Amino acid sequence: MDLSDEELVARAREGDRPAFARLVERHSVSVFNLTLRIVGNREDAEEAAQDVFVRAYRSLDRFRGDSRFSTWLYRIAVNVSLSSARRSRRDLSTTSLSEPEDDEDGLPMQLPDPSADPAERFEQAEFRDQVRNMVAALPPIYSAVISMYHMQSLSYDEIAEALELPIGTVKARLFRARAALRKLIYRSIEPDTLS
Amino acid sequence: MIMNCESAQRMVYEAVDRALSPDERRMLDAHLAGCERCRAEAAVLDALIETVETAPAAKPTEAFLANVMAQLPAPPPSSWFAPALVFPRLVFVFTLAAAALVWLYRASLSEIVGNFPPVQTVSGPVTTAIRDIQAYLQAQAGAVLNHLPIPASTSVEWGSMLLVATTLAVGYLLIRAAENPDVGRTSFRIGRRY
Repeated sequence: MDLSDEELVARAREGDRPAFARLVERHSVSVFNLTLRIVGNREDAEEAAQDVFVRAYRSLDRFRGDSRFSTWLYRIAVNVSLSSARRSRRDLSTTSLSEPEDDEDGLPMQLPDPSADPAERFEQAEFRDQVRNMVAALPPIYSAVISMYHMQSLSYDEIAEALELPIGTVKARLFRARAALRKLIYRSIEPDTLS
Repeated sequence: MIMNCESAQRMVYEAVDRALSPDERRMLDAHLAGCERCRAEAAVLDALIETVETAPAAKPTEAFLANVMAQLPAPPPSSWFAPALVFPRLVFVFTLAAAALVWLYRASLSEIVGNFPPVQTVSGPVTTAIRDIQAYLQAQAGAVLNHLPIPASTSVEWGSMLLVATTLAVGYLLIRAAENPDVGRTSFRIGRRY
């Protein structure tokens, strides 16, 4: 019988380690993908994801069941990943839940000329891999919202809860995140157009 | 109403979330039909989102689960009062019963205390000194008792009340310990291993 997350959490709270192991198995891929998109490299992302579950285990008593267990895990994952990114490769000023100021991330809002039809490039497998890697190259908060919305299929409500932000702010950041990602794509296709 | 390119490109992003009203959608479609630049932009965004959403999920290493479980806090060692934490309410009931018995039979307790056989003493300088100290302490205790609002002869009654209060306090502390998540949870972990 496959127990629900809530039932497994209740058992894990009473010290049932196999129940917690089941939760880890169930959510490890999604948590790892989220940390990977924010942290940017597999090694640090896996370490961060492990830390997420260890922290979750220690804090099980603080999980009240108001939100889904996965949403609660994502909240921990975002915090842990941002700390990890701050420690490693990211610039401290952009590694936070704060949104980068306009153009501060070096990604101007003005569109480049898409006359070279970059959409065709998406047909190439190599380029698609490049695009996925670019998600991790975004400022961490943008990576987080894109990953949660487009990869983990979380709703605005769930992302707002995970990031502890108002829904309106989440929407605005998702908009900017897509715009920033698109600019990275253009930059990789036509570096001269932004110079 | 004619839409400019800036508004259209913002709407392209909102269209990804299906956040456009039917009217807005119509206006956007009309603009895209006549604007190659915005049409290309919409195509790029669609392709981009589709690429991101269809990205195969990365998997952590096979050692992931074992590594997580190895980092979990170890169960605490068992202690002599662990059963009391597992069954705190049962222990509390017993302490209440013990307190009630002490109170009900305090008169008998007084007899028992009063019927202790006299202490055998031997003479000598050391025992004399000890007896002097005992006499001094008894005098001091008597002085303290005299300041209490009841006669010193009821000190056994006070002792009984103190015993009852202590048993109640122990029971209360056990309940609080059980309600403390950390103490309560660790008590259940005893003997369990992942």
